[in-house]
Amino acid sequence: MRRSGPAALAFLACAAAGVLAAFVLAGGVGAQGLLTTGTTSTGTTTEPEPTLVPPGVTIAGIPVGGLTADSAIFTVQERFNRGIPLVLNRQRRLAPTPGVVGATARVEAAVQRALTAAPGETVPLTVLVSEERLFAYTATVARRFNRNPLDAQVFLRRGRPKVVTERLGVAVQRSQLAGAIHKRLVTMSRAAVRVPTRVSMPETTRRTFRNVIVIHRGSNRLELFNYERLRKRFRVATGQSVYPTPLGRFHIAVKWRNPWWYPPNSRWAQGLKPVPPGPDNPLGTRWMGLSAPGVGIHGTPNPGSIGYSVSHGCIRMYIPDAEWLFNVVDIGTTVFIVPG
Amino acid sequence: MLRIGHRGAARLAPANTLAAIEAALAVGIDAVELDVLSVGGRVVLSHSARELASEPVTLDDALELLAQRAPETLVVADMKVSGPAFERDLVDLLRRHEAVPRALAASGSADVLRRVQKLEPALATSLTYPRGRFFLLKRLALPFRIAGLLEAAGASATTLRHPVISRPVVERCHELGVPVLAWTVNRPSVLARLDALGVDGVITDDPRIFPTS
Repeated sequence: MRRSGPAALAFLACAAAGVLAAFVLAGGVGAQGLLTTGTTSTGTTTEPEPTLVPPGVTIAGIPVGGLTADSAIFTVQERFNRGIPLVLNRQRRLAPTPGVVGATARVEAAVQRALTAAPGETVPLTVLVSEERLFAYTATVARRFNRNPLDAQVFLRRGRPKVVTERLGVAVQRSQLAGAIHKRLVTMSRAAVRVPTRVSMPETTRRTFRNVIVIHRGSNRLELFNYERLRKRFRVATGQSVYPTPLGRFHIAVKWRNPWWYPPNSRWAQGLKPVPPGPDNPLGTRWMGLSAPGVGIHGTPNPGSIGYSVSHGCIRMYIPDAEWLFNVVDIGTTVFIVPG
Repeated sequence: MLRIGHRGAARLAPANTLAAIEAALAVGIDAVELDVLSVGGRVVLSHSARELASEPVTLDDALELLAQRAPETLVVADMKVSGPAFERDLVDLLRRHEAVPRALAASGSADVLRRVQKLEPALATSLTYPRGRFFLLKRLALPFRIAGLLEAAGASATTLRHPVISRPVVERCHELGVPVLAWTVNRPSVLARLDALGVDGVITDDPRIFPTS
C-alpha cells in the first residue's frame, strides 16, 4: 500500500503529461507502470516521536492505538459528541447531542489511561449524565411528538358525505425514553432509539360513519350512504310549507318498533287522541326520531303522500322501506337534511 | 494506492488545521487533501466561508509545515472557490514553496482547471465529481461520460466520490492514463472494494483504515 513520495509525484506528473497524450494511449502505461513499482519508504520523516497510545488500545470500543494524545482526545470526543437518533416514525426524528441531554465524558482522563495501557487493552470511558437535564430534555421530545387524538368527521360536499379519518393520539413515555438515552450514552452506542409512546384512541372513529343519511327536502328523496358511497335511494314525503322539515345536521336519537302516536303540541294536532300500534297508526311500524325536536323518519299508512311535501315536518317512507332502513341504521347515525 | 488524509485527518483533529496535518503525518500518509479558499486576499484552509475558523490556517503555513516535517508529502488542493485572483494566489504559493511538482489542484469546475493550467502548465489538475446526489444514475453513466468530462477540463487526474466508482470507470480512466482518487472513504469495507477495483488513491478522514505494512 505504501509508496515513496518521488514515485507518487512522478506518477502525478506523468499522469499530467498522460492526459495530453491520453487519446493516443501513451499515458496509461506510464501511470500504471509507476503505480506498481514504488519502493517502500515511510513517506514521512518524523522528529522526536511524540508519546503514542500503544497499538490495539480502545477507549470504550473506539480504536485509538497509534494516535497521539491530542488525536485520541479529538477522535473519542468526536465520537462521543455524535447525536443519538430518536425515531418516532419515518418522518419524525431527532438527534440530540450528548451536550443537549446533559451528558459529558471524561475523555482526557481516559486518554491518559490509554497512553499507559497495555497493547490491546480496552480502557473504559466515564460518562457523566445529569438526570435532571436528561429528564428535562424528554419534555422537549414530548412537546415535539405528543399530539392529541382527533375525532373522525363527516361533512357534506356537493351533496355527498365526505369522511375524514380519525387520528390517533401519541404521548411520549418520558421515563422510558430517558432510560433508553441514558443507556446509549453510557455504552457509547449511537444506535437509533425508538421513542416509546402510548397511543390513545379518539372517541369517534371512521366506523361511526358507516351509514350516513342525506335527505333532499325539495325533491323528496332520502339517500343512504355507506361512508362516501351511495348505497340506496328512497322516495319520501317531507313537510308542507307551513310545517317545513328543518334543514341541517342531525342524528338518529331514538328507534321504536310499533310505536304509539301521541298528538304533538301543535295547532294541527289539537283535539286528536293517541293512536296505538296498528294499521291506522300515522307512524306505520317504525319510528326513527331525530335530534331535531318532534321530527323523525317513519313509515306511513298513507302511501299516496310519498313524493310530495305534505307532512307536518316528519320524513315519511313506505312501510317496507322504513322497516329495512330501521334495521340498517343505529342510534347516532348522522342525518343531513338539505334543501335541494 | 496513495493514502490521502482528508482535510489533514478530519477524524483525528479539527479539519483543515496544522494539528490535522500533524495527526495525518503521525499515522502515516502519502498525501494530504486540504480545502482552500480565499479570504481577504489570503489563501486559507477551510471547507467553506461559513465554517471559517476565527484564526484560519493559511496555505502558506501548511506548506511550510509540510516542507519541514515531511517534504515528500503530496498536496491535493481542493479549490472551494473560483476567481482569477484566488487561482493566481494559489499558483504563486505553490511556486514559492516549490510545491508545484508535488501538488494536485482539484476542482469540480472545468473552467477553473483550465485557467489553473494556463497559469502553471506544470501543475497537475484533478476533476472532482459529482457535486450532487443520485449516485447510482451517475455511476451507471460515468464510464461513458468520463472521457468527455476530463477532456473538457484538461485534467490529468480525477477525484471521484466513492459511490460513483465502478470497475468500468476505473478501467476507462486507466485507458486514458488518468489516475482515480476516491473521496471520502472512512470504512474499511469501502476501502477494500476500491482497492479491488484498482483505485489509485483514497482520501480518508481517518488514515488508520489503511492496512499497515
